[in-house]
Parts: sequence; C-alpha cells; structure tokens
Amino acid sequence: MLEIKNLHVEVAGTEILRGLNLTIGAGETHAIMGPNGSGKSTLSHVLAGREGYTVTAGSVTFNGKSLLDLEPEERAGEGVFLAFQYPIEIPGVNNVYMLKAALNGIRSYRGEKELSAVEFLKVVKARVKAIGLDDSLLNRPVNSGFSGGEKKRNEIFQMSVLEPRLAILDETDSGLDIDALKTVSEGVNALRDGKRSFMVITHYQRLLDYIVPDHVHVLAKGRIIKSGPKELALELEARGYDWLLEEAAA
Amino acid sequence: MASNAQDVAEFVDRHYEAGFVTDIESDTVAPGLNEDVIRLISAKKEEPEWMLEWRLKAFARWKTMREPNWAHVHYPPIDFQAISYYAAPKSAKDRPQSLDEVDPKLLETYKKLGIPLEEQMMLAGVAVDAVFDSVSVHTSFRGKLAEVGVIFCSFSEAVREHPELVRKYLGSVVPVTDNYYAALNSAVFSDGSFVYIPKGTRCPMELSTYFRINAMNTGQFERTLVIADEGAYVSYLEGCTAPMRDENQLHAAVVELVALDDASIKYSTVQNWYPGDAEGRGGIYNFVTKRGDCRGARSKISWTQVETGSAITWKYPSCILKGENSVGEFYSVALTNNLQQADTGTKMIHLGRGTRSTIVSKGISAGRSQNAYRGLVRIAAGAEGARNYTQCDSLLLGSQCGAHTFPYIECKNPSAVVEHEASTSKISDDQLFYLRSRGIKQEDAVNMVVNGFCKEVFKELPMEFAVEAQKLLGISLEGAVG
Amino acid sequence: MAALAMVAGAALAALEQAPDSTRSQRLGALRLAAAARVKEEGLPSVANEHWKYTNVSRLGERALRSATAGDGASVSAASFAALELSTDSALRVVLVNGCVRDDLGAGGSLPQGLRVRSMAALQEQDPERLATLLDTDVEAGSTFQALNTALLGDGVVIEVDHNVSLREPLHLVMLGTGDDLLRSPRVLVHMGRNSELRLIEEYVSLDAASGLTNSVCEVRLAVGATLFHHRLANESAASSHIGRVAVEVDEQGQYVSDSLAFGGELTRVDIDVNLVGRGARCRLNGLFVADGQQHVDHHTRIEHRVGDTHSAELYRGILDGRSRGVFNGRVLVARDAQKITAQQASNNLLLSRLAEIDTKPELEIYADDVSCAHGATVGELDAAALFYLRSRGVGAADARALLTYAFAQKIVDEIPLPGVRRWLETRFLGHTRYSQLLSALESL
Repeated sequence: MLEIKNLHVEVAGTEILRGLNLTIGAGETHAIMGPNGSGKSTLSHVLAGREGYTVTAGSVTFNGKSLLDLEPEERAGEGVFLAFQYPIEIPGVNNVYMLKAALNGIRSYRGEKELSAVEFLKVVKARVKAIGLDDSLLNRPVNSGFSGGEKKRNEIFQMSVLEPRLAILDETDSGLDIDALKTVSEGVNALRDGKRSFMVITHYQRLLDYIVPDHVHVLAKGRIIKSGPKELALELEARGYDWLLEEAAA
Repeated sequence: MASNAQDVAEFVDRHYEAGFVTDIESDTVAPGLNEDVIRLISAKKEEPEWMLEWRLKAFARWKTMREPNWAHVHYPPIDFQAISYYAAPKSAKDRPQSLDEVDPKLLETYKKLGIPLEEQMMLAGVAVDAVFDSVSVHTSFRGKLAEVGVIFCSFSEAVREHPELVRKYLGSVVPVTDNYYAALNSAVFSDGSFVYIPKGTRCPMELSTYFRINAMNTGQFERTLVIADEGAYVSYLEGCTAPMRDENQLHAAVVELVALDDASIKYSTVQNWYPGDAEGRGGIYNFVTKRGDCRGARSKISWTQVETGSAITWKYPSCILKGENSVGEFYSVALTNNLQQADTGTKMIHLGRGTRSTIVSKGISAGRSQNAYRGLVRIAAGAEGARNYTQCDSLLLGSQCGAHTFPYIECKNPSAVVEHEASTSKISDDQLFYLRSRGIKQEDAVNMVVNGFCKEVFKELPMEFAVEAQKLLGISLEGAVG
Repeated sequence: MAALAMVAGAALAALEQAPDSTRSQRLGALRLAAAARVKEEGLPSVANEHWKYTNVSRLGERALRSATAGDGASVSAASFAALELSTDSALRVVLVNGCVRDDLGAGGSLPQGLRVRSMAALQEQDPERLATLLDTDVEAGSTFQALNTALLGDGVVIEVDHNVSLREPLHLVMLGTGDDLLRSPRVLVHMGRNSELRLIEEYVSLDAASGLTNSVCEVRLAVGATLFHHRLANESAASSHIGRVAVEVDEQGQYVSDSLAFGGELTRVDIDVNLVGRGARCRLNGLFVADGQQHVDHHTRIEHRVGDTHSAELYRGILDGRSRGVFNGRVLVARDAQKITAQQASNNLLLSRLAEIDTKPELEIYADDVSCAHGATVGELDAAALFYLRSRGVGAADARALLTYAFAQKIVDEIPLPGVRRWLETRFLGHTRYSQLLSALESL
C-alpha cells in the first residue's frame, strides 16, 4: 500500500530525513518510535504534503501513485489521513460543516456522489457515538477552545467519518491522560478492519499497549535503524534508545 | 506541489458576476451642476418650495466647502461638472400596479443577480422597494405595512405625502454642512427611501431596497431617512450590485436614522458596487454618509455592513448615543481586492449616561488593494458609565496589499470603560494545510477560513442576507489566496 | 507671525547677515534652510493630523528669548546639589538651559571607548564633523525640530566605540532656569557595532523656571548595538517641553526606551524609531502622570523598514485634575518587510471627572507575513479590586492610591532608577501609610 524508498527531506537547508525506507501493507499497523528530533513529525508532514519540506531524493508510492506529486487535498482523496500532533484551531469555521466539505471533497475526488446533509448527518451521528465525542463539540468552531483531549478525540472522530485507507497518527498520545488515551485508542481500534493501514508515531510505548502494532520501527537521525515485532517496543521502554544509537553508530 | 501564493493569485482573479448592463432608456439631465439644475431636479419631482429652498441652501454651502483629503485613499480629481445629476427610467412615469407591469428587462436584471423578486417577496416576506436609477419603480407590501401604520415609500413620495415628517427629521442627523459629500447630496439627491414606524409598532417584515447604478456618468445621490418612533422596531436591508462600466461613477448617499425612546433600528447593508477591473479601471466611488441618532432613552441602532465592492469606499456608519442607556453597534466586513481602496469604520459618540457601543470590524485585503479601518469612540464628559468595546481584525491575502487601522479614542469621563483590540495577520498556512489535508480544495479552504474570520459579523445579518454575503465574499475573493 | 517663528526669523536674519559665524558651509546652509522652514510653515496647527489633540498656538505667541550660556551662569554647585535627581550616576553631564556646564558634571575621566563632547565646542573645533553627524534632512520632524536646528547652539555628542559595553550609566541632566527662555539642546548618540550603553536623559527645572525646552535627540545604532534610553520630562509647572527622539537601528541592534513625563505645563514627546536592519528590535515603554491643567502628549512611530524586525510598546497614562493626555502610537510595516512582529498597548487611567485622554494606536501595514496587534483601554480603577482591598480593611483612599501606584509600577519596574520609584511613591503613596510599608518591604 505505502512504499517509501530512500527518502531524503530537508527543512530550511538542514537534512532531516536521510534515506528512509518503509513499506506498509494493507491492513497493517506500524509503529514508528524514536527519540526527539529523529524526524518522526517530519515524516508525517511530508506524507500529508505540508509546505516547507523539500524532498531532495527518494520516492513515496501509495497504491501505485506517487504521493509526492499530489496536493494535500488530493492525498486525502487517495485515502491518506493525518491525525495532527497539534490540531489547528480555526475560529468561526463550524466543525461539522468543515467535515461535510471534507467528506464531499474526497467523494467528488473519487468520482462518488456527494452526500446530502441528511445522509451526512446520519454518518456523523453514528460515529460520534462510537468515539464517545461530546455532541456539543460538533457545532463549535474547529478545535477552537477545545481541551487537549477534545482535540485528539476530534481528530479520531474526523478519521472515522473520512474512513481513510492509511491513517497516520502523529503523537496522538501526547498530552492525554490515561482515560483519554483509552477512549482514543478504542476509537482507533474500532477502525482496524483488516484493510485499513495505520502508521502510529509515538515517543512512548504506553500508546502501544492500547493500539497493538504488527511492526515496530525505530527512527533515528532520519533513518529507520531497527525494525522488529511489537516486543521491540517493550525493549525500548526498558532500555531506552541509547543502545540502539550506539549499535547503529558502530 | 504548487505554491500557495500562486493558488491565491488564481483565486483572486475571478470576474465580477453582477457585471452587465440593462438597456433601459434613461431620462437624463445634461452633465453639470448649477442652481438651474437643482431647480430642474426639484421641478421634475414636483417638490414643494421648502424642499427646493433646502436644496439651494445646501448647494450654496457646498460651493464654499472643500473635498476631504484625510482618508487613506487616492484617486484623480473628480470633475463635478462632468456628472449628470438626474436620471429616471422612462417606465417610471406610469407606475406599475403589479409585477406584470414592471419592465421585464428590470426583472431580468434582478434574476441575473440571483434575486428573483417574486420569490423573494413570497418566500422571505420581504417588501422590496427597488430603486433603479434613482427613481422607485416598484413597491410591494405597501398595503400590509399600511395596516400597521408603517410608512415605507420613495423619498419623493414622502416629500409630497408626509411633508411634516420629512421637514421635522430631514437633515436633523446629518446636517447639510456635515461634510462635502453630504452637502452635495443634500443639494441634488434624486430619490431614496423613507421609513416611518409609528409608536409601539414592530415592523411586521424586513424592509429592503436594492440599489443599482445603471446609466453612464450618472451620479447616484440616494437619500434615506428611517424614523422609529417610541418603542418601534424595524430591520432595514440595503443591498447593491452594479453593472460593469468603464468609467468611474460617483455615489454619494446620505442615510439618516432616528430612534426615539425604546426604539430599535437594525440597518444591514451588503454593498457590491462595481469595483473596477483587475487593472483598477472603472469602478464606483462610494462616498457615503450614514449616521444614526439614538435620540431616545434605551434606543438602539445597529449597523451591519458587508462591503466587497466599489473602487473606493469612504464610509463611516455612525451612532450618536444621546439617549440615556442607548446602544450603538457596528459590525463590518470590508473586503478589498485588486486595486480597490477602502477607508471605512464608524463613529460612536457617547453623550448620554449609561450608553454602550460595540464595534466589530473585519478587514480582508487581497491583491494590491488598500484597506483601512478608521473609527472614533468619543466619550463626552456627561456620558457617565459609558462602555465601548472595539475589536478590529485584519486579514492579509497576498504580499502586495495593505491593511491599516486608525482608531481614535477620546474619553472625557472617568467612569467610562473603553477597550480596543486590534490584530493584523496573514491568512494562516497552518489552517489552510489542515483543511486541505482533510480533502478540502485550496480555494474552498481559503473561503472557509475567511468566512470563519467574518463569522461574528455574518451572524448579525438577517438569514437570507447572510447567505448572500457569504456568496459575495467567495466571489469577490476568487483568485486571491495564500 | 507667532513669536517663536519670530525667534527663528531673527536667527535666520543673523545667519544671513553674518554667514561667517559658523565655519562650516554645510552647517550654515542646513541652519538657514531650517530657519526658512520655520518661518514659512510656522508652528503646527490642530488641523495637522499629528497635532490634532495638542494646540501649541499659545506657545507660539509667548515672547520667548533664545537662551545663551550666560542665562544659566548663576547656577552654582550648591544649588545643583540640592536638586532631587533620579539617580547618582558617576558619569554625569550637566546642561543648563541647553548649554554644557563642565563644572557641574561629575566623573572625571571617561571610560575607554566613550566620548562625550559639547556640541558648541564641536561647532567651533570641527563643524564639518558635526555636519556629518547631524540629521541633514531639514524636513525631518515637525517645525519644532527645524527650530532647534536653526538655533543650534550647544548640546552633547556621545559616541561609543565598537564592541564597548559600558556598565556605568551616562546621566544627562538638562536643567532649566530663568524666565521665558527658549532652550534648544541637541543630543547625538552614535553607538558603534556591538556596543552597549544606558543613557538617562533627565529634564528638570531649578525653582520656577519658565519657558520652553525644545530638544532633539538623534540616535544611531550600528550592527548589534544596544541602547537603553530613559527619558524623563520632569520640569516645573511653568515650563513646556517639546522633545523628539529619532532613532535608527541597524541589524540585530536593540533600542530600549522608557519615556516618562511627569512635569511641565505642556509636554509633547515624539519618538521615531526606524528599524532598518534585519533582526533589529525596539521596546518602547512610557508613563505619563498629569494633574491640574497639564497637557501631556506622546507620539511614537515605529517603522519596520525591513523583514525580521520586531517591536513592542506599552504606554500608560494617569490623568487627574483637568489634565489631558494624548497617546498616538503608529506602527508602519513597509512593503515586503516580512516576518514582523509588533505589539502595542495603551492603557489609561482617568482619575477625575475633568480629565481627558485621547489615544490613537495605529497600524499601517504593507506586507503580509506579519503578526501585529494593538490594544487600548481607558477606564477608572477596577471596582472589583478596590472592593477587594477594602474588604480586607484598606481605606478607600488608600486602596485607590495603591491601585494607581500598581498601575504605574508595571512600567517603573523595568527602570533601574531609584529616583523614579521614589517620585511615584511620594506622588501616589505619600499620604498613605503604605509608603513606609513598601520601603520596609523593599529593604528586606
């Protein structure tokens, strides 16, 4: 589904990703772990198409298409969803209205019929329940005045409505207390249907207790320096990253 | 991926949708201004002697005045002798009794603008007094309004049929000598609307007027007078679009509002005069004087405006808060694109005890336009316990435009509280990226963010107007994001 | 013609009759042009947007005489010592009626890398050099600046060498004495690359001096230079004060200003900062306290001429009696000057029914990648805070005094001048028992 080959990315002249390789198959959940500054967020932003990142080499193929050639909204149309580490506040723009525009944007990109307001609201109501989101958040401006937990929950809610093929969760656990972490994880797990793929970016193993990955990768200095089964996460939790960095340096 | 700046540029470059000319023969007076022209206008309108004298007095004053130059706008000198000061559609001579009798071309014009007159009257229950080239040609719901004693008619009609009201209130809010353009308007005003809501009456429907400028080189000098007697309420809507023309046209309207004890006037405007083309050719000069007088205790005047049109806008809808505990409000969205220039804002003059005012201004600059907010909050010594809150935000789309904020705060009463906040920033890349990453197109994302920015103002508009305003914003911004 | 313009006219005539009185042709031409401007334009009227709230026509009508060195001869070391000044700096330069008085200064030899010269001396010794240091744009500022230039007599030229950081503040004491005098001091500050200086420019009066002080201060900061500039206008009730500070800040330079206005019948201070190099920044704070019939006007103008420049501004005014305060803060962002931040706040306290404040915070922006904000407030003391203090047993008058002092404190806290704090304490807390408490707390 997703194939990243030898990806090199610069930000303001500094190379952050230095030859990253990663393949994610359909239905798989991959965890990306790594110390601060290893390039985790850069990876998620590059995949979603944020400005300010220069790809100097390498390729990213998504279901046979070159992702890097697409505009952010086209990537969303292809089925890529980024759950932001810091969801953006947009004053005055109604949450549900935005979501309807997004869903219909994606549907029209795919040549599907746009949903009527009634059809759309049906979808929303079902998802709201599943995710345990407070109804009142729906009619508030996008993320404006939301608590940290509410923002993250809103991201997962959007994901559940937009039904992406690949969901990238960028440090979704950061700033969440244990209860919020559980609800958010449950929301994610409910979307694991064997076809949808996940890239879970996190600094801590904690999240992976709830969203159990198929594979764990360690990102350091812009490269995957170690890959392994889910147990690798536990080992990282116990031993930290230093031994791996030394191993990689050796 | 394409740069945002480029997308923005494309977005800004859409065409003026209301740009077309209706071919109706005009009864136009030759260009030029002198006492004879004023006598002619007065005679054509069969005005009484006092009205003519009032006009002549204004003209005499105007000749001694100079054009203001303090606004943050630039334009070549206006030749006031090259303007024709009167034009009336011929079909106006025989007033239509029903829609069937209205010139089909006129109706078609409204349809092109997306304002199907019949539908709007039926669905929204709006009485429409369509001012077409200065003379009212169509009035509806007169009967229904008359039942409750509301007078809603053309200004000329009011001069003939309600002279006592006109004489009492005309020029009582905006004196003839107030400013250069107000004096000019007083001398040559062609027509406009007159509204009187009697004591204790809540006007049963929204009153609206659609203005259009049509005949070439014809200055438009509308005169509007709205009086809400004690305990009355009225919501008045004013909207304008204009056909595409290559020459600058002067529009100098005067609007006067009077609210007596416990009365409330809500005045909403969506202004979309022709802004000129992408190179700044053509376009309307909109030099308007709008002022409301909260004369009575607990009275309230609320201005809401969405300004997207005109080459130059010079406009400060104001409130004189004379009555104790009276309230003034000003909600404004001003959008400029291409080479448009706007210098707009408000004046809140607090004279009475316990008076309150709120100012919310949202400026959006795109292209190479200049957009200035200019506002005055004056608290007189007697305005015990007065309050003002002002919020004034500017959004920049593109690096070639300007956004300016000139607030004046003058306070002479220690018990008053005045708060002013302003911010200027460019449209947020983070917000645009967030929306796009959710699958929303760049252009739609920009529209969404801009509409969100203006939300506080739109929610003050009557529903059907709010929809039109949002649409207008989208159209005016086409081609402008980044 | 207004009397002040006549003073300028006289200066012009004198220059025309005796062109040799100044040895530099450039300097002479500049002064002639300046005098001509004053004569032609006269003083600014209220029709001028920048002078809308400050009427100087009465000033112009007064029969003032341009002060000379002789007018201050009677000031002795003893009378000087009796003055209450904001600080006791070891580096002190004293000007009486705008003329340097070496005998009253203190500090002996100057530290390495700092040069302080009398402008009169420089006019004698090296007028060409002076002409290169002065702003030669005769149109700069209002006609008051032109008047200062036309009457150019004495003043101070301060130069700090590259890479020199001075620990000891330099204290300029501008003392006014005598009746109906026009004092025209000029101060030039040239800061070398990566240099640093703290400058205190303090205007005080001896006894009931009257007349007008019309000062101009020009500051140029080279790359990486920092100037802390504390400007105090605290002259007698019969004096008026017009001052302009024009600053140019180059790359990575930093101009930090506190402008305080307490005294004087009419005070008008213009601070004009041009940020001309990337990374340049300025921080302008101000405090004005007025009572009686005082009129205090602060105009600031910050121009961000290039990208990556930053400004922050906070002005507070406290108006009592029949006084009137004016604040006009203008922030300009030039075309293509991107990545700008500019913050501005004007807070004003009206303590009397007859006092007035006019505030006008302006933004004029021609670039798009900016984050600019301003806020202005006018009000009386916070009723909730007053109630809180009173519920804790503080008397109403004391509570008001405490809150007023606290309002000013925000500005004063950033000024390391004990005299300023003392002055405010006396002014606002003098009649309360909290002054002792506060000083006791401070000594802890």
